[in-house]
Amino acid sequence: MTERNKITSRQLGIFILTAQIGFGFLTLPAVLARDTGHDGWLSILAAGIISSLAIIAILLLLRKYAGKSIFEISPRLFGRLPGKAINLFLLLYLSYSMVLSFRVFTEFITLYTLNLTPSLVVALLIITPTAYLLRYGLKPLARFSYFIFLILFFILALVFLVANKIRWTFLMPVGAAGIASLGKSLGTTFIAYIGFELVAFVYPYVEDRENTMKWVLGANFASMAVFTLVFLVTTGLFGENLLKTQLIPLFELARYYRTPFFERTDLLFVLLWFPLVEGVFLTYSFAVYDGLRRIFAIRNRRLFFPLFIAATILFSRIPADLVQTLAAAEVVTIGGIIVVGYLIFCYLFSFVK
Amino acid sequence: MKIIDELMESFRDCPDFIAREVVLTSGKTGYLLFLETLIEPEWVRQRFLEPLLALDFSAVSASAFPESNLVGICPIDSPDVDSLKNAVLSGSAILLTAEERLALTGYPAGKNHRDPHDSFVKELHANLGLLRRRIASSNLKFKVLEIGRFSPGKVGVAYLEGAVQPGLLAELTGRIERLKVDGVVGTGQMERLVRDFPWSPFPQFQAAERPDKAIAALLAGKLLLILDGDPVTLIAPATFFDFFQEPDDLNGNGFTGAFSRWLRLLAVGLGIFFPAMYVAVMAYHYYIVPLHFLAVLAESRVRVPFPPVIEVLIIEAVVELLRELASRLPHYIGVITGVVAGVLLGLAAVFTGAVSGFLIIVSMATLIASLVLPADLISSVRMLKFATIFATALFGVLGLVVTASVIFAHLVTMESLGRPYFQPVIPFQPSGFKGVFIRTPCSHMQKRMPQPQSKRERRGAIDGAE
Repeated sequence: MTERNKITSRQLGIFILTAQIGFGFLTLPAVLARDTGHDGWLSILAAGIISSLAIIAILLLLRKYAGKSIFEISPRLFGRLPGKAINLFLLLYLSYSMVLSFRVFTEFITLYTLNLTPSLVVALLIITPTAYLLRYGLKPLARFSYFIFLILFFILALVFLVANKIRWTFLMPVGAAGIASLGKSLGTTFIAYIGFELVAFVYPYVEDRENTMKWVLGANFASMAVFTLVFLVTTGLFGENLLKTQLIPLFELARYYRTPFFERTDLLFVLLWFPLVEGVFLTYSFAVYDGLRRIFAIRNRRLFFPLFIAATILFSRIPADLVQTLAAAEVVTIGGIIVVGYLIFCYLFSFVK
Repeated sequence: MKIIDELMESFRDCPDFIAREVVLTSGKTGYLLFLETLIEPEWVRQRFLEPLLALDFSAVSASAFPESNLVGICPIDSPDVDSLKNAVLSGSAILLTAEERLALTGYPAGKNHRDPHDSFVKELHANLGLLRRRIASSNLKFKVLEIGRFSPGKVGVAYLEGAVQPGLLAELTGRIERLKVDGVVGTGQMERLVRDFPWSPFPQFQAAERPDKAIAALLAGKLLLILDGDPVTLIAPATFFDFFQEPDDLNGNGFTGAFSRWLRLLAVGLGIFFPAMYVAVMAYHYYIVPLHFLAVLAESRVRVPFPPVIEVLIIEAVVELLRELASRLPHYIGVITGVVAGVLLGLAAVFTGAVSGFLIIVSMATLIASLVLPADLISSVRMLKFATIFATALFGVLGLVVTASVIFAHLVTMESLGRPYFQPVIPFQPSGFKGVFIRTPCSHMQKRMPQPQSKRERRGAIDGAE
């Protein structure tokens, strides 16, 4: 395959959209209902605008150092040794996110589809598509992300089907949560948008960089629209009190709709979600795989690739169960905010340097 | 530039173009020009060249030409490149004098003896002629390459200059030239040698036995690979969705053509996943079936002693055996035997309680779906069907989804001659949808499909075409 890592800005946008919608989004409406009640959508809009500003800063930084990723920019800004140390931290964040997302993915799949199968067996099974795509580079991986559109189609179809049951009074009065409560929930909501920071790692592989801003911002706005829509619909349908008790409101929404020939519509969504979450795991896997190869100048791919896959599975087994995994995932949240903060700081620092 | 040089340049990479220097009675030289794929060299020698060589050219001009002695031969006064090219492409032989003031043209009176029967034949030369007859343009070029150490064979790569991307041609010819093989016996083997993904279950080049299919591909800017000794040609590059198109789709009503393609796409889905879905629902996730329907399903399985996967494997194995039987026996016996054996075995299996009646419906629907598919895809679908059944038997619906994900990942990764295999869906190219999923009227299809990345995307605009 020719130029297996080269992607277009449009593909990067879809790649980012997948990373954003695939994971943090699932639990977001329930978490927001707990934090801010029925005003969560205001928090979604505010976090969307903040993440857009962060994206603009990151892309302006990347434009300044045309064709370089953050791994090359850090040593330039802060010197060779500090830069390398920062790179190791960034790599650690990516690896941690990848391993944790894989474990959460495994546990959810086990929980929803194969209760009696050991989750290690499920892990071996679900890493297969990732391992296959990773071997061929970023291009097929970005193509795989197009699957998001099928999910979006089903979400929109589901929303359309339940639209007449929505009680808009569940969303009134607007602003009842208050500014303080909304401000407190911003951090949680911002995390759902995490995924856009991957731009800083894969930017060198984008062919038409002049369009990157348009597509990545477009992806962020699309995520914002989907988050808002699903929050409004789930709140309007279940009410904030019921929503607070749910784990994944979108799946509850799917279960709520009854089809004449299919008893469990939620299972259909769980199944459709599989390639999407696979896509999220893939995006982080590529960033780690590529980062490791670049930072440590690894050339022997034949040896490195199986070791990488084996290490991913082994490290993902460290948390004992889902509870420990979710607790460990809190670190990803903080790490994500630190990494985005660091990227914005780099942009500001680049004016001084 | 002299006319003869310009003609030679126009017919560059046309190995069937013959331009031979001949000595006339006056001692001067002339050029004999013709396309040997359109006109028989023996006819040229006997009926055209010999009478003309006896002629005293010093006394001959366009106005004073002894037509009575030379039947079917006429002069072209002040010949130019275009008129000569058109005459050659229409199947005439030309004798051009060295001064290029006079040309004589002759055309065989009878019907060409190589009647095509509208299908490619084993001989490379004849196949090139079939193409030449339908595309009367010097832009139709052939590169003839030799492969095979112990059993040398010829491979022709046909293309339409100006329509095809030069990179594509160089890529394919480069791959053929780099081949180090003892010999190639068929186009199927040839495809496996030059394809991008040798381990893939999916075909990466499209087989064509009919010239109309080949011509449509050439006009779309693709390459045609013709192996001497094999009547099956290969179209490259191909996308996954090319395999769902048939030449007849273009001839019929647009809606019917599009409907047939959607049916074939549905057939791929059913052919691969339908038996596995049965296993997933019956063995693992029966709760997705509404209660009133579940009772019917359970009733149909009440006497079956096997678990769903064994039941499916038994019936699928029998179906595959029947299919093999039908392909081995002569057509009229194979069909009847297949139908009788299928009906009897199916009925017996249900009556004895070996398999459920519902499974017979599933298996037959799968069989019908796989028979609807184009020949290139049938074996891929059969193989993937069994892989999906096994994965589903082990992991339920998750096995099915993982298999589907791997198939999807493979399809988006694959390339044919370096072009994305899953285009125009991924990478997304809306303009390509017009020819693949919907069929707009021909007047609305002025652009070539984007898949082969044709050099000139507008139809009817080929560089230097007549």
